[in-house]
Amino acid sequence: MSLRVIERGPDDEIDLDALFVERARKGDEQALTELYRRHQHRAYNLALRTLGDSWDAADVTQEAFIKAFRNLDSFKGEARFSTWLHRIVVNAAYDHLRRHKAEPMDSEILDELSGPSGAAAVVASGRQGIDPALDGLSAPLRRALMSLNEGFRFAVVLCDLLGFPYGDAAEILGVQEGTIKSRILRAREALAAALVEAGYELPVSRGDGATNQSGRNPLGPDGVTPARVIEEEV
Amino acid sequence: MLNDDKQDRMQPSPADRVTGHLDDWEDLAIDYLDGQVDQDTKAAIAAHLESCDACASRLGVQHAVCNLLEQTSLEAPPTDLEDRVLGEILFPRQPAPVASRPAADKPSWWSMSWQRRFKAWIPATVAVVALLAAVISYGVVRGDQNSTMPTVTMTTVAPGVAAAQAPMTEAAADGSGENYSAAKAAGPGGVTSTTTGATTTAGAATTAAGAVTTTVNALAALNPTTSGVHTDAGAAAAGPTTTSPGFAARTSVTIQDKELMVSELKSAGSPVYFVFEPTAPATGEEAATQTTADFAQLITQFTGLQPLDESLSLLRTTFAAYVPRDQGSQLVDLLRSIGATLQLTVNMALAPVETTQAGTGDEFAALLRQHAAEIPEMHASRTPQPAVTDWTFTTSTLSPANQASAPPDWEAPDQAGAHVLIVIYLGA
Repeated sequence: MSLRVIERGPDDEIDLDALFVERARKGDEQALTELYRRHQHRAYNLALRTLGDSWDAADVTQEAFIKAFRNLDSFKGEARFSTWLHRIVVNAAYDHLRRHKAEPMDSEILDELSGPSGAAAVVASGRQGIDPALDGLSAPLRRALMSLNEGFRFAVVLCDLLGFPYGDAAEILGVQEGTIKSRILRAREALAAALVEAGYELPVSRGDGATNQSGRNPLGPDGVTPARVIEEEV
Repeated sequence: MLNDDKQDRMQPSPADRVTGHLDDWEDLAIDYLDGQVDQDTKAAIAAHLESCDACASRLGVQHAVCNLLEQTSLEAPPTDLEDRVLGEILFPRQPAPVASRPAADKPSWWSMSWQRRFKAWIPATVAVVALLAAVISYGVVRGDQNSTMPTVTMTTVAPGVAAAQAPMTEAAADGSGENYSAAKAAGPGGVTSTTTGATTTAGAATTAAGAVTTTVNALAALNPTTSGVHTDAGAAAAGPTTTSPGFAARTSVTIQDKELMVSELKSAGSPVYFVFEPTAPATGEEAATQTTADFAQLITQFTGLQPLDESLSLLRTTFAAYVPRDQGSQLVDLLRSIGATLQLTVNMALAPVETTQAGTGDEFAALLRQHAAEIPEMHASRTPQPAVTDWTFTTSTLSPANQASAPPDWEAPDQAGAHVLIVIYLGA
């Protein structure tokens, strides 16, 4: 088994995570740091895209990581660490949403602020264009995402944005895999409708080209950090 | 024949289920898009799509949205998040506030926070680093840059209401949803009156409509004579909302989500930095400068803070205030609300850039000490507001800690670990 496979393979990442968890339990700060770095991007973006606010997302991500790290002993290894961790993030995000339901979205304000079209929203986002590296998601897409009901939003963020396999997303959200797929389908349609309404053009083709996306988790355990040299430790 | 180990084996023959339309086999449709169906199922679905434009079109949409989403890049977490998490785990904060020692014996607040670092100095250490990339959008402010700007979006309380203000605010925080709609139904002629300039924005308009919302004009509270906008402001300044007892009651209602953040401020004296980087779209250097100046002016108006001496300015203009530890988040929200009412987008996901090499922080701290007398002690409060764009915000108010406005000396606010120093500086 090569290390490269460990780093890249969705099925193998558990080994590395489990290794770090094991060490972190014994008080290895470096392992803790490693765990954080491996998962921070997806955890943060999960919160960011389901809450829609970077400040809240940071709070929720922090809360979730702290909770996870303080309860590493209760992680039995029955699930993957990644699944376990993201379930904590999801719960924290749901809690946050529940706490803030009292503050309603005011659609009039939204309209006035965002203007009639996506272009205005891009301006409102503070940049003249959409820079994926900075923005991640364009403002129209972000708003479309936030317009989804929560169940759909969490599913589509987990699967399509973060690249979790449907089975993992089902486990994270505590629903059946079929439910996830159903939600994904409806979420994508709702997103498309919202984007079209915002004047956004989707490059739609006939859905007859079944692309082989067997590697539909392009991000690995942490979308950014390159593989580390770990030979001597394995 | 299954071509994937993870293929769901519960279905004896998935291809047989491909009857009717997409809704009848949506899970297979999803798998089909991912190339995760067996040959028979693939053929069955392809055959249906040949004959059914509706389903083919729907799958096309699926494909397009899926591609769009998968192509988007992840946003980087705030750079201080790692420290916030690991700092909390590796250096659990004291359960109780550290008993105050004589300030002289205590390591400086700066070195205390410094010692907790495992990295080169970055300007927000264990506390919050927030880069507020505030950008003015489509000329809302630009159209009105003269003396009417100070009146931007402030709600003041009618004189007769001032006495009942604090309890009302709690009620608003408790059930703001219902109160809002009720207030909106009642219209702007409710118990509050609004100070509006030409630049009143959507956020402020809603505030005005929300009869139960009681946001005190910070500027008026501090400098009634200079605000020159509203006679009610003076009455509001004398009202009870700017005192901390009323505020404390509100805190328990409105502050929940920010508790974690505030708890990070526990390391004694750790300052919180905010970097604002106002830029104007499609304008030149001169306009950008103007924007910065505008922004500084607005900070003064909303917070009552005056810019520090130029020798202390890190970039262009720097503000600083002592704020009670548990009110740090209110100030954060206040700053956010500045962005909201000006239709600024506030992006706190990024850290300050190369404004702070190692060493700069110590120098800055030393400078701050020299200017300690200039740094006022403030109280912050906030009232919830409806969501604007994709985040909720609150309108907050800063008020002097004591009406005499006597600036505390450097040691006093931090002696009991009760205050945090919040520094706001405007980026270039």
